Amino acid sequence: MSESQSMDTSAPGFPAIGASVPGRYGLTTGNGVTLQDLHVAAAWNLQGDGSDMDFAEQVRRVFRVQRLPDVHGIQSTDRWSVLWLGPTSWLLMFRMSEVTLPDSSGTGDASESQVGAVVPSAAQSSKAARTEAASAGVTSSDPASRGKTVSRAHAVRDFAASRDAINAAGGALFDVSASRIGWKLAGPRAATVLNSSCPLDLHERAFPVGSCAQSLFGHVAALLYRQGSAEFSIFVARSLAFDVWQTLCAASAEHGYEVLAPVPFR
Amino acid sequence: MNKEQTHRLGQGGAIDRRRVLRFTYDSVAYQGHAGDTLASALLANGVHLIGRSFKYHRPRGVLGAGAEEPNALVQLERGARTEPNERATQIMLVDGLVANSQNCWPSVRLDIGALNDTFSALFPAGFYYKTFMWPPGPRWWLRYEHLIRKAAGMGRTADAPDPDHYAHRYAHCDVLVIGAGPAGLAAARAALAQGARVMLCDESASFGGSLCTSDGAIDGAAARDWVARVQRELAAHPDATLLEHTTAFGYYDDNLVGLLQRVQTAGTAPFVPRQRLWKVRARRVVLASGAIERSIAYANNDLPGTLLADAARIYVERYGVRPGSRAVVFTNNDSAYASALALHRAGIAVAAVVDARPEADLHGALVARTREAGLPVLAASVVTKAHGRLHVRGVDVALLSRGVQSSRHIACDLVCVSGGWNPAVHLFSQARGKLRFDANLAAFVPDVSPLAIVAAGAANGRLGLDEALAEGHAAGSAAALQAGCAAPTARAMTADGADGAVGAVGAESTVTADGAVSAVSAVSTAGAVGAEVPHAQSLRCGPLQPLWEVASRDRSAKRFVDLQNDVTVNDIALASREGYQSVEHLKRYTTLGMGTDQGKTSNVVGLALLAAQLGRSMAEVGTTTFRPPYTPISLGALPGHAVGAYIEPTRRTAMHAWHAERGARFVNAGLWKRPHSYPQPGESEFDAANREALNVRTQVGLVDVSTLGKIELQGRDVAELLNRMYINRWDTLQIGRCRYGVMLRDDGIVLDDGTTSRLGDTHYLMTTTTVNAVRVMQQIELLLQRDWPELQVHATSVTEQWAAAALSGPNARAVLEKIVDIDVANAAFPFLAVAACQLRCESGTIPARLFRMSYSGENAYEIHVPADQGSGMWEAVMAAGEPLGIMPYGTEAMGTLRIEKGHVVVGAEADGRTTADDLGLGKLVNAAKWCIGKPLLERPALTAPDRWQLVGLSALDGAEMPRAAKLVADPDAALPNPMLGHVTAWCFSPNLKRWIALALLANGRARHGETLWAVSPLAKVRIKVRVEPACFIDPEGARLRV
Repeated sequence: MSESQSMDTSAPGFPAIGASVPGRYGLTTGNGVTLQDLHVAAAWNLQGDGSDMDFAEQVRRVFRVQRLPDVHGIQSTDRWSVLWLGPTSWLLMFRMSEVTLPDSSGTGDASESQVGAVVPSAAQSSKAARTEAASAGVTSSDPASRGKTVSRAHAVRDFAASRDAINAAGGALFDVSASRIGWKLAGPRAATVLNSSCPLDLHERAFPVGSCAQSLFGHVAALLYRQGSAEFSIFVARSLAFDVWQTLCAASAEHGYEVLAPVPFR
Repeated sequence: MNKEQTHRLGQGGAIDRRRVLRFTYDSVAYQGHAGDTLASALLANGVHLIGRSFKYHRPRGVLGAGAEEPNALVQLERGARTEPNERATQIMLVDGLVANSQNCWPSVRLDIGALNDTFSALFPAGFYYKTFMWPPGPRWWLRYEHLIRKAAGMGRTADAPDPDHYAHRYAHCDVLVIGAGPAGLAAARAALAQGARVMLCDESASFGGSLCTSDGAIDGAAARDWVARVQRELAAHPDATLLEHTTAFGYYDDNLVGLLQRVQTAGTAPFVPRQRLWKVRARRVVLASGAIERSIAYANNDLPGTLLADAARIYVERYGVRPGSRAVVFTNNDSAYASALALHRAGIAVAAVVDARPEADLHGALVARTREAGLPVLAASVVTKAHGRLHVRGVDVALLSRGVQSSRHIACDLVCVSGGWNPAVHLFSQARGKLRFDANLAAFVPDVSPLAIVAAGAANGRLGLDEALAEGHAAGSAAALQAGCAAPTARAMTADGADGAVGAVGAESTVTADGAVSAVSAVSTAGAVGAEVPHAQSLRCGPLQPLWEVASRDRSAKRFVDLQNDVTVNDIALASREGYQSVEHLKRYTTLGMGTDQGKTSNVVGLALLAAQLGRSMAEVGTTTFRPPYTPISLGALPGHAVGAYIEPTRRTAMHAWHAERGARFVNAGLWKRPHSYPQPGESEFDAANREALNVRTQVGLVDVSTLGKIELQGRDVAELLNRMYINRWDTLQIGRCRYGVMLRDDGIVLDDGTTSRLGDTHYLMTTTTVNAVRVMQQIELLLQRDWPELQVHATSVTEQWAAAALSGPNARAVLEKIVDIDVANAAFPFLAVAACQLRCESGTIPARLFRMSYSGENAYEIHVPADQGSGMWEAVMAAGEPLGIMPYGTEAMGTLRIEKGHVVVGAEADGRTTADDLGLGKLVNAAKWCIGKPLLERPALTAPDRWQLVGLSALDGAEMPRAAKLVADPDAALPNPMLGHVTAWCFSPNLKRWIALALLANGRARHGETLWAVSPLAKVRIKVRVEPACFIDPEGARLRV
C-alpha cells in the first residue's frame, strides 16, 4: 500500500484510487470488475500478404496456424493467439499454457512487476525495479518468476529462426514482446469500465467473444481482445501504462473493483 | 406533518413525506422532502422570491418547473463546489444542500441594484452600446465591460479546484429516445419490441413527463401506473438503458448525441461521479422532448407569484405544494384549464380563468369541466397588469373588446399563465433540421433533418395524449426498422449471451437523494415488451388564439418577453425601429434569448412581436440558430477524468523510477518525461548540467535515450527505400554497421535525422528524433502503401520495445568491457559498428543490441534492451561504471555536449526552413541518386548565396549569451536594424569555460572570424560574439575513433 499512498493520484476531479497490489478498492458495496496484470511471454508482429500462398504456407509451417484471422478476428493454437491488427499485420501472442506462473499471493513482489516498473514514485524502491527486471529476465535466478522465464526463453529461442523463415517467404516478423502492457478485466462491469474511455461498441453483438480491435482508451491507442462474455484484455504502449492503469482504476472505482494477482496470458 | 413547510399540501405528490431533508437558502434553514426539487421545496416553504433580475434587479420568483426556468437561478453550494446559474427547478434536493440567491446585494429583499429599475428609462435596448462607446476604441469598452459585468452579476465561479469528479461513458444504440414522456415511453417500448438496442433519457429525476400530472388513462390504467409499468418492462430488458436526470444537451455529426447525467447533486458519495457525460452514437434518434409553455407579455408579468400554468399544476400534483391560496389563470388555450382544475382539487381558490378567446372558442372538454366545477371563466378577457412589490397581490382584468377602460381588479397571490406551447425543437435544430411554422399552434415545429432524427409527440406539435402515444409508438417502431431491427424477438438472447449482456448495457448505479448508492441490476428475462400501440382517450379541444402581448394603461410598467435578460416588449419595438430587423440582429441588440436559458420561454414571443412590428409573417421572420448545449453543463463534465496530471497522457521510460529516485528534474519532450538533470542536494540545475557535461568529456556518463523513435524494417527492398528517403546512400551499408542520415520533406527542407543500422541481410533498424517518431513512421507507411507498393518492405515501430541508453566518455569502453560478452576493442568493434550481445546484470543476462555511435562527440555506445529489462540494464551499467566515475546525465548536459560539437537538432537548427546545406550537411546529398525533396533543392531560393548557414558563436569578454538573440552588425544602427541571423541554441560550455552558441547566419560559413553583436531587445541585452565553425571540440572527430 505504501506505493499507492505516495503516488500523486489524488488530484481534484480524479477519484481516490488504489494501487496495483492485490486488494479491493473503490466502492465497498460493489464488486463490478477485477483487474489483473497480464504477463506476456512473447508478442510478435507478423506482417505479410495473407493471400500469398508462400507466405500462408510458411505461417502454417512455422506457427501451425492454419488460417490467419480476418478483420477483428482471432485464431488460436495451443501455443499462439493470433490477433488481427490490419490487412497485412497480425500480432502473435504466446499462450503460456505449458508452464504457469507460481501463485504469487503473499509474495507481493510479483504483483508489483509490470505497473510498478513505470511508477514514477520516489517510494518505488529499486527493489521493485529489480524484481521487475528479474521476473522478466530470460535466465533469471529468481524462483518466483521461473515459470515465465521458461516460456520466454522457449519463445526467444524460436524467434530468429521463425523470422528468417517468414522473411524467406516475403513477410516480416518483429519482436514486440516488451512493447505493450496488458491487463485482464473481468466481471459484470468490465465493458462499462472500458467504455469510460473507449469509444468502441462493446455489446456482444457488435464485439463478440473472440474479437479484437485497435481503438482508443482515453487519449491512448489500445488493443482490445474479448476472451469472454464479461472478460477482456486491454494492451497499451508500455510508456503509457502508468497513466492508463490509473485511469482504469479511476473508472472502476465507482463500481468497486478488485486487483488480483498477475496472470500469464493464455 | 412538518410545521416549517407551510405551503405543503396535506396529501398528494410524488414525494416521500417520511424523509425530511434540511437545506438552507440565503442562510435560512428550511425543510423539504425526498423527491423535491429546490424550487418545489422553497415553494413548499412559501418562498417565491428567489433572485433579482439581470439588468433591472427586479424581484423574481420561480416561473417554471423544468429546464425552461429563466428566473430561479441560484448559486449552488459553497467553496470549491459552488456553481452559479443552476436552475432551482432542476436541482434535486439533498440533505444539507446550500444555495444562495444571485444578482443582489445586500439581500434579495433589499437590493441596491434595484435602482436600475427606477431609472430604467435610462437603460433602453442597446444601452450599453450607446453609452459606453466613448472614447472610441476597444480599450475603454474593456474597462466598462468589467464594471458592467460586476453590476449585472451572473453568479460567482469557484476559486478552488472542483473536488468532485466527473466521468465519461461511450455508448451505442439502435434507437436513442430523448424524453420519457408519453411519446418517448411509447417509442422506446415499440423500438425494443422490434429487437432494437434502446437508450431512453429524460432530464427529470423520474420518467413520465406530462404523465406525472395527467389524470388521463392509458390502456385502461391510470397514466402514472402505466408509466411505472412501462418503466419496469423497459428496465427489465437487457437491451434497454434508462437514464433519469439526464439531459441530451448536444447533437453532433453522424448522430453523436451528448448526454449529461446528474448522478448526484453534490459529489458527496465517494467514488461516484457527480455527473457523467455520455457520448452516445445512435443509429436513429427519436426526439420526444415535449413542449415548453410560453408566457404572455402583460404589465409586471414578472412578479413573484407568477407561474406558467402547467408548472403550477406540477407543483400541486407532483410535489404536493400549494403555490398560492387564490389564483387567477390567464390563458389563450385549453391546456391551462387542467391547471385550474388541479388547483381547485387541491383546495386553492381559483378567482377566475381569464381567457383571451371569444366564447365561441370555449367548447373544449376541459373548459366544460372547469365550468362544471363552478370556476368563473371570463371569456374574451385579458390580464392587463399585475400588482404587488415583492409578490403578486392582484391583477387588472379587462375585456379585449372594450380595452383597458373596462379593467377591474381581482385580488390574488398566484397568477398562472399560458400563452401556448412551443415544441422543444432545440436538438432537432442542432441536427440541422428545418423548422416550419404551424399556425394552429402558433409555434415552430420540426420539418425535415438530414440526420437520422425524427420528432414525436409534443416535440412534433402533437399536444394531445392519444396522438402523442400513437406518434411515439410509430416513430419508435420506424426508427428500429430503419436501424435494421426487423422482427420482434429475432435476436432473443441465448442462454450463453444472457450473462454477458449485463455488463454491456442496462444496469446502472443510481444514487438516492441522501447519497446512498444502489446498483439497479437489469438482469432479468429478456421478455417480450408489448408491441401494441398504447391508447388514451382523446379530449375535445378548442383552438388556440395567438396572444403575445397585452397593452397596458400604465406606459411605464414593463411587459417582459425575456425574463432572464430583462428584455421587454418596448425593447423589441425600439430595436425594430432602430433597424435591427433580422432575428439575429434583434437577438444581439436586445440580448433576447441570450441568457443561460437560451430563451426557452421567450424566443417565439419575441419573434412574434418582431413580426408584428415588421408586418411580416412568423414564417418569414424565422428563428435564431439553436446551439448546444440545450441547458448549461458543468465545465468539469467536459474533461471528465482528463484533469490535472491526466489532462494529456504522460509517457515514461523504463528507467523513469530510477531517475525519479535520484532526484532528476524532468522536462517534457512531446508526451515524454525526460530527465533534465540530476541536481545533488544544494546544487542548481545549471551547475548539475555543467557537472554532468564535464564528466562525459573527462570520465563517462549515461543518458536515457529510450524516447528516440525506433522503426524496424524488414524486406528485400529496405535499402532501396532508405535510398529514396534519405539524402545519402544506403545500398553500401554493410551488415553490422550503422550510418547517420538526413531526410527531407518534399520541398527540400530537412524533415528529420537519425541513424539506421543494418542488423541482418534484409533487417534494419531506423532511429528518428523523439518528436518526429510518429511522423516518420506515418511517412513510411504512406510511401509503402500509396507510392511504392512494389517495394517489399515491412515496417513496425519498436520505440516501445526497446529501452535505450547512451554510454559516453573516455571511460565508456572500460565500463562496457565489464558487462558485455563481446569484444569491444576498437579494432573488433569500431566506430559505427553494431552487434547483438548479452549484458551481465545482477540477476542474469539481458539480450542487448550494441551500437557504437556518438552524439556527444566522445567515444560512445548506445545500448538497447527489451524495455521490460531497461531498468536492469541501466543499473548494471551504473554499477559497472561506478569505479570509473560514471554519472547519469540529462537532456541539458546532452544539449551542451551537442552544441560543443555543432550537432543539429530538429526543431532548433532544422526549424522547417533550413536545407541540409544550410546545416553544413550538404556533402551528404548523394549526387548519383534521387531522394524525396531532392528535385526541389535546385530552387534558386534554396541555393541563394545569402542563405542562413549554421555557425558557432563564442561570447567575447566573458559575457553571458542572452536567451534568444538576433545577430546584427551594429547594435546602434537605426531601426529597423538589419537582422543577419539568429541564435538557435546556447549554453555555457564547462569544457571551454565560456558561453557558446549555435546560430543561423546569412552566408555564415564565409564569415568565420568576424565579430558581430547578439542582441536581445526584449531582455535589453547585447553582447559581442565571434563567428566560428560550428564545432568547438575535436573538429576532426578523433575521439570517436579511439
